[in-house]
Amino acid sequence: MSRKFEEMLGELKEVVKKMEDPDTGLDESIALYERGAALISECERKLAEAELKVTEVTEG
Amino acid sequence: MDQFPGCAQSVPGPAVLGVAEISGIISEALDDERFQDIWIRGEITSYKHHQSGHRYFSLSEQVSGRNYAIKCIMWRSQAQALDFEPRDGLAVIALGSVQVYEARGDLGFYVREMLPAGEGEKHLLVEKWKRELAAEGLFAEERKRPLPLFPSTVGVVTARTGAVLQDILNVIGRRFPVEIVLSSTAVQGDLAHLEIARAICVLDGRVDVIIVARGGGSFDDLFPFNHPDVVRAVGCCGTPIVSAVGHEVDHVLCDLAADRRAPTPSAAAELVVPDNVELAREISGGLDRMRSSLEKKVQAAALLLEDLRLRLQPRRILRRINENREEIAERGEDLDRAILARIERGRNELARLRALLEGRSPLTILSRGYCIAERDGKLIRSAANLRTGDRIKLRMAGGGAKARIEEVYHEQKV
Repeated sequence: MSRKFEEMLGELKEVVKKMEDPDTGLDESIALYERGAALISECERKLAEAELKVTEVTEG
Repeated sequence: MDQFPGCAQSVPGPAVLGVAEISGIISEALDDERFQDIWIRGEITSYKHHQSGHRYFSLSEQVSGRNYAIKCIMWRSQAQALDFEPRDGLAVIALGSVQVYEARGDLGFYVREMLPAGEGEKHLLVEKWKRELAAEGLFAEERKRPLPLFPSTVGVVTARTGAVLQDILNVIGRRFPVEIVLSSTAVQGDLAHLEIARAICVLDGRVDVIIVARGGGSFDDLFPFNHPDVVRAVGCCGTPIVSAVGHEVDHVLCDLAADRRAPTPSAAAELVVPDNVELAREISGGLDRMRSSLEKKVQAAALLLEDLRLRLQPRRILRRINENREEIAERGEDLDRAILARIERGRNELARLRALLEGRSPLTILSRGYCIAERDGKLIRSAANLRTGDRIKLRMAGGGAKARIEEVYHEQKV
């Protein structure tokens, strides 16, 4: 899950940056907001779902 | 000179040195790397812990039945760092320099560091390994890799039992739960280095990041983590490694080869995974920022729209319409005026015409005393049309009369 989470977080940062750019239009901002909100709930879901799992290796 | 005629000045005799001079020569001779900063192994004899804090003793050795000894001095400042109490008969290794005490001509070994022989030799071995491994480039700064930000699996090389593993599991479980792969190993003992090295290699490529950890212990306990087998296993591992061996003050070669050193196993666990709570805060912060920038944009758009709406407002149009209406009203009034004038003119014209007409009416003539003669409804315009005896009608002011013509006469022609 990590890599995807990392990517999502990266994309979220991009989305926020773009939205804070005054040159980004309203239509695009609304689309970005929808995308960002989806990313956020997905990230939060992944955070909530994370659980500790322990295994042990014995031989190489 | 005169008494020793054979000893003319031109014939030099044997050189005679002053004591200071020879002392200087000895000092100079000792200023040589063979005497400076050297380790000496020997047994402590004649040990004196002077009340000043300085230590005076000899290091002795027996070889082939012969006894060798060198006087040693360890000043208080250096002796304070000793972590054992020297005593007669103890085998030690000592680091120092051979110097002469010129005031008394005593040759002595001035000790800076001293260790019990067994442990001391291990220290020396570690120093030697450190130089060799450094020469192999295993400690080079440019070899260090960044740790992954969001590992999905964390490998742990440590003992299966004990607080270290529990600490790591607790910290990771609390911060950012992930899959943990334990590669258990002995962490002390003569063969521990082999097990540790293998435990590292087993994890390589299977996990995103590896923690090599051990709790605190004596120098001897931590010794396997100095072993070149372990250091090379760490240095050559393809997976980023965090080394957390012993406590903050303990340093082992394994730390130097790892990508990061952590002061404790718990700190290592904090290094390898992000903090859940912080992440959640960052994520919801993203939501807030998105919301506020969207709100700003919506507000700006609303303002723009309102401005445009105002600029489009009917006011202008209304004004234009009103202007037109006024124009129309004025034109209407103009029209009315024109029509009235026209009517008036018509009326005047009519009156004039009527007057004119009335002026020409035969009836008008009658009122002046004339009369009109008609026969059978036709106007008699000339006497020539009359015959005696004709019955005619006379019309005059105030009425008329029927008459019979008695005589007709004509005007004489001129």
